[in-house]
Amino acid sequence: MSCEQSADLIALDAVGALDVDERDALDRHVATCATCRPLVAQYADVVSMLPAALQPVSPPARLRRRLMAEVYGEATGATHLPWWRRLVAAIPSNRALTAAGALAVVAAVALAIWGMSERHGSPAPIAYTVSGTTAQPSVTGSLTVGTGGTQSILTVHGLAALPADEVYEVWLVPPHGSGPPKGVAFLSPDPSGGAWTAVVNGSLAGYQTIAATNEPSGGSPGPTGTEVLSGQLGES
Amino acid sequence: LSGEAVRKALAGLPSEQRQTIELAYYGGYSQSEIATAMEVPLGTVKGRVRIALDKLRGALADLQESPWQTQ
Repeated sequence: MSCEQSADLIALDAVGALDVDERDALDRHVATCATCRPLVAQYADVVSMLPAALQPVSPPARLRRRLMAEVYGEATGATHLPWWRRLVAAIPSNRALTAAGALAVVAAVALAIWGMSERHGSPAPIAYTVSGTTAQPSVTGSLTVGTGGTQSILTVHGLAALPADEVYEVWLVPPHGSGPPKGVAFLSPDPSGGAWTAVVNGSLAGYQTIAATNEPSGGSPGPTGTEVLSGQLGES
Repeated sequence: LSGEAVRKALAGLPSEQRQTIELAYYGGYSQSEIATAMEVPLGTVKGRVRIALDKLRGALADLQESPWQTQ
């Protein structure tokens, strides 16, 4: 492995995107390369600042109530325990350890599988199809929802180039009559001339359609331009 | 460093680099998943992450009181 390749992998590792099959080769190179070793700390330092960019979010009242109920329940030994804890509690004490051990193994295996699927994309993420409207009928694309369900990637082909003072704004549209469309992202053309992409942060729950319109640079509070693509959410 | 400074540094990246960092770090996607979703070669994802972190390092170093420790 060259130092150039190694630097790419160190950066990937710092953001947590290194594929597992490249880990060993990277570790071997870094262990013996005095040039690359300092990069590990340098990229880790940069990445350690990224959490500061996140905006604090207030949890929904229902989630807050449930969490606080759990916390108070734990603190006071209340009887509102989840089903699996009631099950363990109901087992005679001489068998509780075995049962707890078995549950721990099941939980560990489930966590391991979940962890692998989180990181390596199995099961496959959900993808919705989007297509062009009559304004741009040759547009095709897809919306890929990450396994966490809170971040999606919209990838679109065939969009017409825009004047410098316009952008393609992406909207999530709730069912008819239940609220206005929400502007969630802007589509960016790939410099290589391929697809246009947008990262949509947040859950798609409660929305029926994804769409894009051309808007003045900086976006609009609501869609004002021509709808150029749309796709139904809920049926992949 | 304030959140605003980091957000500003991120916003200063070319969109394809910013999206790659968002997907990898905030979204938890692997390089292969990002390459598939953004329809670019794996090598492009690798390069974008490194270039983005180099640029962020430069931008944020300017804002820090102490200089970067390079060694």
